[in-house]
Amino acid sequence: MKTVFAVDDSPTARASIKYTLEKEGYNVVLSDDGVNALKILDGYSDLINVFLFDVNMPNMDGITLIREVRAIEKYKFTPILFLTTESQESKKIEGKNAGASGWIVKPFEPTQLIEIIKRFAGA
Amino acid sequence: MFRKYNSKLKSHVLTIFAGEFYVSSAQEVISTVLGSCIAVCMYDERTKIGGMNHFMLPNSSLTEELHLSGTLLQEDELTKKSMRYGLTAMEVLIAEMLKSGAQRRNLSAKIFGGGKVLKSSTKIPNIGDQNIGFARAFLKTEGIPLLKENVGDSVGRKIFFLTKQNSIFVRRVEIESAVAEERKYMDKLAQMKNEESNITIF
Repeated sequence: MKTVFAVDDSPTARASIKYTLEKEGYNVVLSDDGVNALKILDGYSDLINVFLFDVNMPNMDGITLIREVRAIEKYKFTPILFLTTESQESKKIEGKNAGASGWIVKPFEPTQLIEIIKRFAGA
Repeated sequence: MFRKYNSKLKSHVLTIFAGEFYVSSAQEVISTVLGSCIAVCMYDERTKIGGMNHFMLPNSSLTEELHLSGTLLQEDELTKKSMRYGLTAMEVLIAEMLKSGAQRRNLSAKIFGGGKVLKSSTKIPNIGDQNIGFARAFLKTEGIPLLKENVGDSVGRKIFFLTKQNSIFVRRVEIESAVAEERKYMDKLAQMKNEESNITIF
């Protein structure tokens, strides 16, 4: 089973991501901010196939988080997508330079989210 | 969205329309006219940052269970198309407030509008009530305290949000003036039916 790790500070956003992807057979791990995400990753021995990060979050934003995750040897090349209401071009470039694989602007169409996760995780 | 000086309030007033939002950390007044739409006025006590949105769920179909449970964790609801407009309006407002320096844990909210103005095209009660139900449930789910509400009834409302003070004035207005704008907004949402998600692959 493929695993998606989603980090978003909004409980409703977390619930909708989890619901959308679990229905498709993915294992979904959730965190409410970057600091907690790094703690979870630290104790997580299984493979994560795709990361989904929000950008604007308390404690640690998504851009800082992606830099931290890219610094971890085993996640150097794991696909990391931003899923966010943020649509500023300059932010996207910042995200790309920090190591993001793609950028999805909310609201997401469930079928399109599934499609893109499949593409990055392998079906 | 437009800005105009108001001599009575001795301040510039920023007027927003359906589908828009505005966040301010300055001494400003945000205003909007509401029929069945909802405006959520969000405030951060600590930083005195205030923001307002203005939205509706078109042809909404919130289930009875959602109204009973009072939260949005009824998960299949979350991915419904009509619901996503409301979720996005709320998420965009919160994200913009956080970007301006507000803290999620300091946020509180007041809600306005949701008048029994427009008749829903479905059998479900009315759009105003659906919108109120959504706003309450969203705030509860997100753990954001709802401090005050002035909602429902068969009235239109014009609201003025003094962002620094977190005080809001409500004036009742002719329903017709509120309805014309909302009809246009609903038509626009209806046309957006097959909107593609905005995805960039690097």
